[in-house]
Amino acid sequence: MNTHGTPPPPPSWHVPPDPAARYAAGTAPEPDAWSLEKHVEACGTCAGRVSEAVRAGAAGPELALGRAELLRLVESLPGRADPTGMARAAGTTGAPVSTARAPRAPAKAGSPAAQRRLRTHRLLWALGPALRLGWVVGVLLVALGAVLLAYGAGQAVARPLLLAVAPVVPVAGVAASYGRHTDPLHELHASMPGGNLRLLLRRTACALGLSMPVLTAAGAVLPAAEGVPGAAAWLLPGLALALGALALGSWIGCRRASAVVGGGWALAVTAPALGEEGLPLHITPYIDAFAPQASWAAAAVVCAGLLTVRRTFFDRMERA
Amino acid sequence: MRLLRPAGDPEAEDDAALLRAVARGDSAALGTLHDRHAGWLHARLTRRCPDPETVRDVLQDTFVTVWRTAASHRGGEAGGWLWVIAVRRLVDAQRVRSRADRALRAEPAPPTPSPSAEEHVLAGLEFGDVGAALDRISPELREVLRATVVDGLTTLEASRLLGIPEGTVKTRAARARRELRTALAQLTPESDPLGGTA
Amino acid sequence: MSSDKGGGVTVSGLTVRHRRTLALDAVDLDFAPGVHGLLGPNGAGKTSLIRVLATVAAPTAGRVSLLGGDISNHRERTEARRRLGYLPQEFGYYPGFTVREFVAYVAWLKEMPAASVPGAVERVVERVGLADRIDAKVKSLSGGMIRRVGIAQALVNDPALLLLDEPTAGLDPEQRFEFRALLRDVGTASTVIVSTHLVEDVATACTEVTLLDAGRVAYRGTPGELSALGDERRPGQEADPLGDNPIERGYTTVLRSHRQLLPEARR
Repeated sequence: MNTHGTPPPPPSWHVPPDPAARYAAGTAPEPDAWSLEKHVEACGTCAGRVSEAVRAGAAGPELALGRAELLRLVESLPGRADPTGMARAAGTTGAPVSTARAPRAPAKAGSPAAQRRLRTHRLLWALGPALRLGWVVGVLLVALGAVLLAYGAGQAVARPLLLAVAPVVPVAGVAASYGRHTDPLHELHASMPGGNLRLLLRRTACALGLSMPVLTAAGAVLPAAEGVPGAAAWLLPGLALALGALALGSWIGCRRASAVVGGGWALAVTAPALGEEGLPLHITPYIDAFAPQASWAAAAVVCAGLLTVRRTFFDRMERA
Repeated sequence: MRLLRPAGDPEAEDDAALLRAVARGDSAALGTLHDRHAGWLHARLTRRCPDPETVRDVLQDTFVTVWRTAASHRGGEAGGWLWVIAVRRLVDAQRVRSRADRALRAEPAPPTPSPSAEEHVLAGLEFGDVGAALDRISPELREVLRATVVDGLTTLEASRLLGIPEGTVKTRAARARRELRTALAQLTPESDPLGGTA
Repeated sequence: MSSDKGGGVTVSGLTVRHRRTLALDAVDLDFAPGVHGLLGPNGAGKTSLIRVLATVAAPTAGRVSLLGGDISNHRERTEARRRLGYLPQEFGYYPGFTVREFVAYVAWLKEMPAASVPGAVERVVERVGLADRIDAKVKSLSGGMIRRVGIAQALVNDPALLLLDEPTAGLDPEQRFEFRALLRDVGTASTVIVSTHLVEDVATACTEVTLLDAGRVAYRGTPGELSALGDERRPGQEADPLGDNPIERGYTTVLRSHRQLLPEARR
C-alpha cells in the first residue's frame, strides 16, 4: 500500500489495552475495529500489543502451532544453505512491490550443494532407469555363470557359450528399459521433446557401456580353447545387433524388434549345430577371423545409417 | 530511513530490519515477525471470514509469501504490506470457495476507486465522528465500505470477498458514502470531513 | 513468458478410433488461455482428447494445432512439446528417484536450459507444497503427494499448455482446494485443460467447461451458464436434499438432452 516512499505521519496515539483486548476477542464494534486496524498497519508497537492480546485468547494455541509449522517449513525450503542471501536478493530485485499481489517466488538459483547433486545424478538419470535391476543382475549372472562354468565344471564350452550369449545382452537391456510395456514413464516420455530417440540412444549406450566391459572381462579370464575366438570377438556383433534392433524398432517397436533380433541370433547360432557332436553352438564362423568381423562392422554402419534416416519415426505419435 | 521514521516508534524500524533479515534467510527474524503480526492479522482475517480453516491457511500462506519475497519489500509500513498480502490471499481463497453461481470470467481490472473520498473517511476515523456515523449505516453498506476503504480492495476484489456482484459493490459503496455524509452532517453540522480538507 | 506466441489450441474434425470404438467423432474445439474443464462420463473421450493434445496419440483424422504449430509436422511438434506440461491419468515414476531428481529428469527431457533446471525444480516443488519432501524418495510418499509430484513435473517448464488428466483423483479435499487455486494461477497466463469427472473441480477452478459425451461435444460454456441450466430445470427447489448443486444438475440436464438427441450415441 504505502509504497510511494513518503513515510506515514507519526501515530498520534497508541491503542489502549482495553480496545486491544476487545478487538482480540472479536467483540470490538466495527468503527473501533477499523481505526485500530488502520493504526496497526502503521504502528509496530501496537501491532505487537494487539497480537499479544490475540495470543492470550482462544487463538493462542493455533498461532503457536502455525508459528512452529512455519519455521519448520521455511527451514526446509531451499535458499537456507545460502548464508549471504545473494541468490535470494538477486532474484528479487525488480519485483514489483506496489501491488504486492501474492508475489511469485523469485527466481532462486538452487543451492550449490543441490546443483552438484543434480549434476552427478544427471548421469544416473540416463543410467538408472535404463539399467533395470533385472537386466543388470542378468548381465552379472551371465558373466559369473561363464566363469563358474569354466572353472567349476572345468569345461571348455564356457567361452563359446559366453560369446554366443553376449551379443544379445545389450539388445535385451534396451528392450527392458524402453517402451510402453517396460517403462513406467513411457506415456510422459512420449510427450516430451527429449523423451524419444535421444533417450533411447542414451539407454542403448548405457546398456552397451555396462555389458561390454563386464562380459569381455569375464571372457578374458576364461581358459583359452582351441579354435575359439578371443574374448573381445563379440563386441562388433553385439553393437551391430543392438543398432539393428533399434533400426528395426522404428518400424515395429522396440520390444518386438528386440525379440526378432534376439530370436534371429539364437536361431543362427543353434540351428546349424543341431545335428553336430559336442557343443551345439555354431558361433566361431560368425565371429572369428577378419571377414566376419568386417561384415559386422559394415552391418553396424548400415544399421546406424538406417537409424539416422528413420530417426523421426521414433517420436511419431502412437497410432490407435 | 531512521531519520524519516517517527520518533518514539522504534518498533517500526525494527520491522524493516526484521524484513531485511528475513530476506537474508534468517528464520529467527521470521519468527519474531510472526510473533508481532500474526495475532492481529489472525483477528482481522477472522472478522472478515468466519471459516477458521481458511483463516489459518491464509495466514500461513501470508508468512510463507513474506519469507519468499521479503527482499522485495521497499520500506514503508510492514504491517500494511503484510495486510495487503493477507487480504489478497483471502480474496483468492473466497473466490475458490464460492460456488460457481457466477461465471469466473476474466474481467478487466476496474480502475482503483478514487482515493480522495476514502482518505477522508480514514482521516476521520481517528477522530470518532466518522466512527459514530458508521454506527448509523446498515451492516451491508458498512461491509462494502470496509472492504473498499479499510482493506484497500478494488471493487472486483471486494465483490469476490463478499460474494456479491461487482455492480452491487459500486452502488452500495456510493450509497454508503452518501449515508455517511448525511450521518456526519447530522453529528457535526458545522464541518464536512468528506468534502473539506482532512 | 512463452504463452503469447499463439498460446491456444485448435482442433478441427478430430477423430480418434480405438480399434472398433470411436473415441472422438469429428470434434471441433478451440481453447484460449484460461482454465478449461473437460467434463464427461467415463468413456466420453476425455482421455483420448488429452492424449492427442499431449502429442502422445495420433489422431485418426482431423487437424490439431498446438501453440501455433501443426502437430503433424515433426519440427512444429517438437517445438510444441517443449512448451507442454502433461500429467497422464496413470502417472508412472521411477521408484528410486527422489522428488528433486524426478522433476529435474523431466525438466531435462523437456530440453530446458541445464543452468535453469535446479532453480526451476525447487520453485515448482515448493509451489505444489512439497518443499519439505524434495529429497525424499518418490516411493516413500503418499498417494496424494505422488500426485503433486506429477503436477510439479508438468509445471516445471512453465508450460504454455498444461494438460491434466484427472489430476484431483487421490487428493484429499484440502489438497484439492489448494490445487484449484494453483490451476487458476497457472490459467492466468497459460492454457490449462483439465479432464475431470468431479463437477466441483470445474465449478471452482475453471473459466470454461466443455462437456463431452460419447465422443462428441455435448456442451460448451461457462460454469455459471451450466449452473443456470441446472436451475432452469428444477425451479423452486432451492436446497437439494441429496446435496447436489446447480452445476451438477446442469451437467445431468445437458447429458440427458444430448443423449435424447443422439440416441445411438449411448451405444
